[in-house]
Amino acid sequence: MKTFNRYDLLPCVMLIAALLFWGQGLWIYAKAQFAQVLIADAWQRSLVQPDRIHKPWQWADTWPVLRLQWQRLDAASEDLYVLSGADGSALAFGPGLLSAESASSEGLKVIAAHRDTHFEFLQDVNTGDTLSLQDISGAWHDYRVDDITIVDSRDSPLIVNSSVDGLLLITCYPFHAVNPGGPLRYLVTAYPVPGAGISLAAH
Amino acid sequence: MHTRDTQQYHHKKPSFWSILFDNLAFVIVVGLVLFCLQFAASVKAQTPDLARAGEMFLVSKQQRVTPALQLNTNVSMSIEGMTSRVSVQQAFTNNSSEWQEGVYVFPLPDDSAVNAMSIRLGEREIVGEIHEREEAREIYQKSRDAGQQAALVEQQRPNLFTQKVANIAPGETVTVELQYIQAVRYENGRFSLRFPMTITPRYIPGVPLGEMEAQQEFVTSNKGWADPTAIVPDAAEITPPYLSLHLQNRINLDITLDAGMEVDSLRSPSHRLDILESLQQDNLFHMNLEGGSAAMDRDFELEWQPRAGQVPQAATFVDSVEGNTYLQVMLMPPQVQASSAALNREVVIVMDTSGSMAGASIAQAKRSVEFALSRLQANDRFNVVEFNSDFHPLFPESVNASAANVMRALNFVRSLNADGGTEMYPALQWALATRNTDTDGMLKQLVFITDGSVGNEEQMFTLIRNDLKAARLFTVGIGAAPNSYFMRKAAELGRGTYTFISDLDEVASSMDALFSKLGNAVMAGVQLTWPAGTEVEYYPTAIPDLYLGEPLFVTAKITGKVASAFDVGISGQLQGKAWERNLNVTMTEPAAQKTTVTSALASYWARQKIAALTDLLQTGTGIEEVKAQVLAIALPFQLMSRFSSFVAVERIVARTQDAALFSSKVGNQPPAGQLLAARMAGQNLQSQQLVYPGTATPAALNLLAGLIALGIALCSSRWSRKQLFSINYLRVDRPARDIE
Repeated sequence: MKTFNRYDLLPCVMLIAALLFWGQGLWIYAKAQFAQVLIADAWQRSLVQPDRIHKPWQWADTWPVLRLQWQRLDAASEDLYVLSGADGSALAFGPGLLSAESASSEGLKVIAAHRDTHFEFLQDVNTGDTLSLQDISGAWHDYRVDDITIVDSRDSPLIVNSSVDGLLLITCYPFHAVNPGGPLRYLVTAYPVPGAGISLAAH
Repeated sequence: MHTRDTQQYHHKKPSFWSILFDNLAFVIVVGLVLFCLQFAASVKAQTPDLARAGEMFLVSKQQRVTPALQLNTNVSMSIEGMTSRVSVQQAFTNNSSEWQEGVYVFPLPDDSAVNAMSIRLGEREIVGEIHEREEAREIYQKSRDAGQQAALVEQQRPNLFTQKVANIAPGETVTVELQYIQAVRYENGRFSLRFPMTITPRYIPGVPLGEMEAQQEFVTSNKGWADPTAIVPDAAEITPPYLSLHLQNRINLDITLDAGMEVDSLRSPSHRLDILESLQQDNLFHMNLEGGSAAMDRDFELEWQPRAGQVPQAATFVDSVEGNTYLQVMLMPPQVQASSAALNREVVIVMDTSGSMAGASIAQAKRSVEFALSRLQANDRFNVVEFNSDFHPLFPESVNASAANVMRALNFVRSLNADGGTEMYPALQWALATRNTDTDGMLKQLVFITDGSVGNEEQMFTLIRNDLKAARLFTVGIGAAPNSYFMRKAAELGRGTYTFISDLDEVASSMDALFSKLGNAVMAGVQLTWPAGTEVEYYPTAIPDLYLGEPLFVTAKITGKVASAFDVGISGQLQGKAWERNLNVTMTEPAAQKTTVTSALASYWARQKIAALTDLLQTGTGIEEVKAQVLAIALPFQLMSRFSSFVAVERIVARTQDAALFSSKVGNQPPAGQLLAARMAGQNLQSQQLVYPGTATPAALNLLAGLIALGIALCSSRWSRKQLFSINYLRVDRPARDIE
């Protein structure tokens, strides 16, 4: 081979850049995946000892407050642990509950997550599907998907009636867009299944 | 072409895999392009019908109460030269099955000269008359109780008005039209105009007076959410309710701009516009809101900039009306950039962190302070004061703008939250009073960052007037609907300037312009000389110091006959040097049909005179004396003021005495990004407004960027330069002797 010359500089720099970009991108997916394992453990501890906060790792500034499951007959399923707060640092590890005080009480629960990690499955959710939510006391509540809408966040303010019992899942739209800053939001609205009692049995 | 060029390197017939491998870079690039195309197509295909704006989620249908009265606003503006004539039509539609009286508190520009009002009932139009405030109220109440249709407009603040419309029949629409004249702002070579659409909740300082029964007779139907206090006795009149979150007040805008000079850029920072340029006439533009209408949740702003080289340096506008002459004079003083290092100054940043700043405003305010801190010079002294219910200065007294002190200030500002009351008075009082031996002799500049949403404007103005001394006060109005009256007047009394910031993107440019003013010399001691023997009354009577980019703007009335052409002498001091200039004014033929009421210049002059007279209240002149003087101008010029109101009454009785009349408040829309107003709007429905979190990661963007980088790496590698591109490419790229 010839000696290194200045024409090799660009491909080398680009190759390093490519590796860095990929590293960064894959790190986001890896974090989202593996954090849920640690959070699952913290959730189990929370169920045993619900009166105190169990952080998934020592320096975490968020902790699990709910568990969300979605299952369909064709075996598609999802099992997620919802964190308190929906700022960027929480959403990197799991779905976030927007107003933390509503985690255990009756009323509306608004949960947001990234469209390309935890809430990627929302594109497969249909109206009529059942979403199950486990609260800190271990009780499961079933919700039925009632409505799926796409809004422009610039002219549709997120206004919710916190006294209505329900579940609102929010993620970005379109699901496979490359640019993360788009204005569109995908909203999945679910209401408690009428007549369905609270079950303590594990799903 | 690649295969032909690369043939010389392949002697045996290549297999499929070797072709693929040889052209790997090419395949990746093609793949990438296909991927991007497919992605663009999928986005386009997937963009669905968007849900209706303002849709309320998870609020059941029963809860979506329709208000008794619905408001639709139509505004047409006609801008010519430096004057804008505006007509505001407010249509109240009664959706209930009862007779209604509508009460609506609304904003208008703070320098607007409201000079006409009328009501439209179907095809009929009833022209309103100007009356003394109490008299107008009586006329209105009498006709309301008698069942006649009537409307009353009162001024609560120069930028805040109350509209009352009586006896709207079930299913009927009553339209009230207001007309006003407004001056166009001209600064830094740019013209601009604001039209406010809603109100940021006003904080009412002071102890509530309790039930003021004496005042309640009229006020009960108009009770806002604040109780009157000794400091703000009219609190209820200026704190209207907010519309439920799922409802909107819609507005249509129709604007004609006759720029009079070639326009380089014309835009609205606040709204998307459809702009039509006239083909028949040069420099004439016609504008509408994109999509026809918009929600009334923010101030409308319009800006236009003349083409370079056409930037006006001086202008005069003259109207001869009923034997008198009204004129407007605009003159740009010479623009001298002084080195700011020479200035020995102390900058005190006063920042509003009250509840009304919660949401978008506090973010804009923080960014503004960060910008201000970054612009401090090493030899400046500075301090930061934040206030809500209490105030907290960062340093007990101003300190050097050392890197460590600025860093401390940045950390302090970033940690602030918006909550609590707006006790502006003690904070500003402290900031004005504080000084020590180090800052003695320094030029003290106060940068006051706030939305100005207080009800005690008068009290604040008196404070600034009395305590300013040698300091200068610069106001920065924050948010979608700042109190523009407070911003302008406080800056005027503080001998500084005012700036508005309604978007994070505007922070840098607006604060940059402000700091150029802070750092540069001013034109001071401006004097006007009028031709001998003429009787002239002009406003502002004391010409303010002119900062960099600011023109002299004077409105005058010359009583009696004047020469057909004369000079106005203008002189001032710039950096200790005297400056003088003569401005030639040529009279126009008196227009026979023009009266003091129809002439825009006459109306604007009278409005300036009323403002000057009202200012006398701050210097101790009794209210009765001021009232008499204001009425002596307001009534003949048919102008709205705090002492004169418009009232229009239909003669025919519409509602018989057996039908009851209900009174309904028409709410304002919570300003965009304003959490306090949104919370107040949601209170009765137990609803709340949340902020959409960012719900996408840059992972895909990273992978794509990585793919592009890899593509470039492969294409530019030595191996592929040889394989993929022809020898010709190499010959162009490299000297011939380098070819292998």
